[in-house]
Amino acid sequence: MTDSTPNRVLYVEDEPDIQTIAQIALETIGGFTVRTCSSGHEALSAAPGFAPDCILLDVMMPGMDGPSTLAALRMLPVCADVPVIFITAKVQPAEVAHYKALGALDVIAKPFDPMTLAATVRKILGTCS
Amino acid sequence: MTTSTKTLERLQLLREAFFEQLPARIRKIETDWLNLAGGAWNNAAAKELRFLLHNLTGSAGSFGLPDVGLLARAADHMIEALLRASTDPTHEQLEAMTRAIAELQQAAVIERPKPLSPLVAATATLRKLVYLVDDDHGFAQDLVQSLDYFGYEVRVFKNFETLRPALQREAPAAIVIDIMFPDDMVGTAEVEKLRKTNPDLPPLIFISVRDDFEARLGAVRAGCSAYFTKPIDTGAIVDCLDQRTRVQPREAYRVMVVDDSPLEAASYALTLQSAGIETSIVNNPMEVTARLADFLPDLILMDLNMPQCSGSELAAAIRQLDAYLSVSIVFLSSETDRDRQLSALRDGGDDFLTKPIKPEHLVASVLVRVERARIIRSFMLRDSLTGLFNHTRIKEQLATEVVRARRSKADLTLVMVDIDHFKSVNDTYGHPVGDRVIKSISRLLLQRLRTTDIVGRYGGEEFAAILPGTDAEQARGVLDNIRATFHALRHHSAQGDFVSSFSCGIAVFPKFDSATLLLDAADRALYEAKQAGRNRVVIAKA
Repeated sequence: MTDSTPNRVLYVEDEPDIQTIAQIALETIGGFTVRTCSSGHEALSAAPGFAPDCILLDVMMPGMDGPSTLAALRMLPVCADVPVIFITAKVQPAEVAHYKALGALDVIAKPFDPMTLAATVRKILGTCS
Repeated sequence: MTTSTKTLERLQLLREAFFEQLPARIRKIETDWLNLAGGAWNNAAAKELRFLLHNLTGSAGSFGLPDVGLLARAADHMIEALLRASTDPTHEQLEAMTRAIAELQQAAVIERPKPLSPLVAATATLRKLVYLVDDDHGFAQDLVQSLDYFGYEVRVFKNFETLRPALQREAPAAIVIDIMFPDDMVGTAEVEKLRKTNPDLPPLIFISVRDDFEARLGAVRAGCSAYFTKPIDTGAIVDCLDQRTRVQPREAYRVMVVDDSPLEAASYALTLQSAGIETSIVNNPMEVTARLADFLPDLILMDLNMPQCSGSELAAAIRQLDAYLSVSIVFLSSETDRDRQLSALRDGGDDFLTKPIKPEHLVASVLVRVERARIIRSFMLRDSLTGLFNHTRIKEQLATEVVRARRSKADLTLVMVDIDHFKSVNDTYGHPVGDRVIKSISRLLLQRLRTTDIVGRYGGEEFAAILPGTDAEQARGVLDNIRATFHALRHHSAQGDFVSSFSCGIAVFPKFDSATLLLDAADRALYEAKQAGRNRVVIAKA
């Protein structure tokens, strides 16, 4: 693994169960460094210090939802160009198109399989060898 | 990427923890809904409830409870619709929502977390890779989703330029092409270009809006092996992919070699084995009939002149056994007298080969016969709609498997599956649609069960599966998975889309230690599953 490989993942998700399982899936199985945040606001304050290579965003969160978090993150210089992947249970073709139009690189469907989540992320990021 | 046992253990613990706190979550959903439905409609409270449902939709599947996830999704959709509506919900809408939550509650009680088991892992590795070249994003998404249910991993490419490098890296089992070409010559030319760089292209399947002969001819000339017109029937495409990408060889052909000379018998057996044929050698013709039931040959290759009895006598004796009528009998002898050869055939032989014979001739003659015998047998033993074993065969097979399990002291599970409310599917949507539902479930059973499992159509909408070496809990896990997948499938019809479900009864050997007892018990469990509200799996109690 070289230094240029995306390795630091910021995961924004309000559900503690999903946070835990995703952390194992991404860190232990996938070898990523993961910082989880429980809300859009927390993500905004954590992002500059963490300097993520990739951001995974839950779409439906109370308060600030995924799309508004994305818009706010984009205004931070450190996140201006970081690839963002939405994680959502709503993956009808029209919905996926909408998320992509908002600037997401891709969408991962919930429920995800913890065994393959990391591979899916790497595939989307185009660094899967 | 390897996953350590430790990680698996941690995941397993998480699943268990999730499962433990599930009842509390469901209770909260239930009471919140009762409060909401009982009083004046309150949008804020409905929104909160929606979050609860939505979270469950997204998480349950990741924790090995796909069923709970699917039912949560259904309830989630309903409340979303209620929230979007400008008027307060009607009485019917409230009732429907109450039912949806009751179903969710039941599923949460019944469903056990799927173990991260080798069984599941094994099916995962059997997934076949399909490349889809598609410039219609929405269509591709739908197709990917449907194929995914049937065990195909689909990678989508927008055009041939992106497909080319992928083909170099990894060859798929098939390529599906759905592209609106300005005219058909372009499509043909693209495929020809592709063939130049990749001479061994996998089967090509075309999807097109055109149904005229010219378009079909163009596709044939481009080397496509199947052609579908839009709107497509996903089931038909799955069928086609199943046929074209069958990687597992069918059950090996079995040939019994009967020859009093051990050396000669062994040499013929070796020749046949080199062609992938399973063989069994019998040196004493008097033992043949006793050995038939154990080996179930497709073909018997026998010497004509043997000391204990002649080949033609043996053939005549075998022909008196109805059960082996479809078995081919081929004589192999140095007898060159045509009259005597013909007289041997009259007694029940199908063919006469003369020694000495070149190995490749022996293999070729045997293969031709065996293939024919298999086809004839399949007409006798298989259901014409689904290609599964028929009622008679599945019962025979169950008897055989019970004997085998008793001998090896192994587990054995019998599964009975019955489609819920099938009559109303036929009545509402018509028999052709009903047939498609039957085909889709048989396909699922074949795909999700192991090749060593035996699947049959037991009656109209009833199916039976025999799972050797499987205990009740393992069988429940697998069948429950199939049940959830089947319930998530959308069937299409002129009257609109609909979903179907099935109930399932499981009985395990040696708790029920004969074929009859197993059938009885599985049937009772199935009845119980129906009584308890259908769409569930029940294990028979002693």
